[in-house]
Amino acid sequence: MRRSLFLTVAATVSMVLVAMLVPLGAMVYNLDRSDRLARAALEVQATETVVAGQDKGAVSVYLDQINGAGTGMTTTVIYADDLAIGPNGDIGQRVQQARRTGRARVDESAAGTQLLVPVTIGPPRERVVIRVDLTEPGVGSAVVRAWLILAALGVVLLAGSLLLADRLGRSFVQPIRALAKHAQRIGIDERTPVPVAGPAEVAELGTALERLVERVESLRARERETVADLSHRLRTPITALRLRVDGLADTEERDRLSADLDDLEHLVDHVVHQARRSEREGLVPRCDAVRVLAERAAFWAPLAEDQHRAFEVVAPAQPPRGVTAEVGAAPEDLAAALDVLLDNVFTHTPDGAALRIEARPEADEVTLTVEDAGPGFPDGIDVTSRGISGGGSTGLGLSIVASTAAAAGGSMSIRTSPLGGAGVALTLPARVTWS
Amino acid sequence: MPQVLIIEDDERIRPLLMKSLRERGHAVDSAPTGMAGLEQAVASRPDVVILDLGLPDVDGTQVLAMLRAVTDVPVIIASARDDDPTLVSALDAGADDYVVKPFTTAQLDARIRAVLRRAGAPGKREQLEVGGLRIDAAARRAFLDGAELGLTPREFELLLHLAERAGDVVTKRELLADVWRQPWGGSDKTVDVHLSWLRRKLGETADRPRYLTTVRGVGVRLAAPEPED
Repeated sequence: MRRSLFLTVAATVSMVLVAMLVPLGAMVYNLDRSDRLARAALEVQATETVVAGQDKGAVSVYLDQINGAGTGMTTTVIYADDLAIGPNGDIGQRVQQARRTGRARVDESAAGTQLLVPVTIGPPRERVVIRVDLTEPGVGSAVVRAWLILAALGVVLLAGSLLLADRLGRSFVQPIRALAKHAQRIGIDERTPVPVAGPAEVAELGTALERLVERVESLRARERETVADLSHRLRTPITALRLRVDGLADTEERDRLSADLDDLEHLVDHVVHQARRSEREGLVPRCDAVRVLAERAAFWAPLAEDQHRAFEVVAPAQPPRGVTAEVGAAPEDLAAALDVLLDNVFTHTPDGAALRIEARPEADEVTLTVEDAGPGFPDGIDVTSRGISGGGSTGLGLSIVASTAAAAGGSMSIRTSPLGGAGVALTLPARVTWS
Repeated sequence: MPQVLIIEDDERIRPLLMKSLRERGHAVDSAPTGMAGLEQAVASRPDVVILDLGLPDVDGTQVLAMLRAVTDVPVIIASARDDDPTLVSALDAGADDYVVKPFTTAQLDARIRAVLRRAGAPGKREQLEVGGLRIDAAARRAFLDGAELGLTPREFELLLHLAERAGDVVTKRELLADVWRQPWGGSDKTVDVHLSWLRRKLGETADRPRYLTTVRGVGVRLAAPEPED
């Protein structure tokens, strides 16, 4: 924006200056030319007086005198017998014509401007042509000085207006940039007041953003209260039910109702956990997937060792000399998803079965894979469906993993692992940074 | 007969809890509000207090602070709030234990017995010893042969729970209920992986156990190792 404003002002001011200074320069030149022609005319009158009253020798002396004064014009007298006294002895067609017609003329010549004035002297009557050659103004002339002053004025005006445009642009851009920077950090840094500065429109935008942030925060606070209340409202009656069921004398009935309450409790836990997602995530959920995977691998490693499992962890090195893959999930949620996958391996494969966990960062995504050498997924069952599982559990595990991947803008896929058993891959969009 | 005071506002839970704890041999009293509970705690001097956090008049954590100002009676928090900050602040404010709703009478009874056991051993109240293993429950520190073990809070809870029942086989389900406070959820493997970590910190492995022995299909037992020949 600042650059555009700068270029626009540069183009506009340049055009205005050209439109103003070029005619002004031409006018200065013409005024100077008129002035010089007027002086040449006076010179002709003075020379005519000398030519009329003096002999040729005196004329020659007079001409030497005025031509040596360095006035930027030279005078030559051409008599009827083509005798020319003065520096320019050329008797061309124009001289002949002036002599014949008796009319004065002004012509452009190679050196500048030429004034030819025929005068009649006598007796005996003789037509003499007085020629005044005006040379073009030189570097040190008043015209060139005036042009230089005009050019300098143009440069100063252009520079001034560009400086002004730049300052104006900065006064627009800086508050917008500060606002954009602030907006990008919302939910990441501690909350600070939105910068409300700059032009009225930008200040208005800042105020609107501040109001929006306040609204989001109040909604989040309300959500927190709702979730706490939800947890209380759901768990309190279940507690009463639990206590009632505990008091039942019929053990068969008690066990059946307990099992139903177990399922209900699972679901309530899941609902409360999901409802707390935004509280965990904050406004901008993010974490380094490589680091989370490495931490979860390290956490489960002792159990793998106790169960005599070959446990291969393929994760790139961590900073300062490694890679980070920032994904759009809270670290707790991604860790929980990986824990579900690793827990499944330990639960559904026999001791000794190998497992492998990998983080593979690519240009703009990262793939997290958990594979094992167990019996693989059961045939004909969609293990990702909620409520269905091959392992006798509630089946919420893989659906939670899939929803975590989807919430982060990625996906989950299941496959047969190269180790021979089950494999689950999470492909998540990521900002990958190599250091 | 231990005297239990229940401070709980819910009209459904309070009578059920009183009835079931009475059936398990406790003398039970109750109060529906924080202030009434405080008065009763001072007047009747119960052996243990079961305190709900969501009370209508005063917040449960404030009741706990006021209780702590006048008595050192063991307090078990019974609340639907299961978020870490609430749990930690309640324990920091002087609660002796915490049980998350919904719970069973058996769980609550086990916790009552555990806090009474700790309270009933003056001087050694917070100290447990199993062979060369010493656990300071108050300071939440554990030592093996005099050297301090660097345990995570969860590992410490696990070790403390097993040490309180040293010599008994404790099932993983019980551990999930009592240590993880997930009586009906959680995975056995969560327990297994924490046991693996605990083993490493105790300087043993599953193949060469010393203090921690897995009884396959049943659970795990903490006991002093047999003296080596």
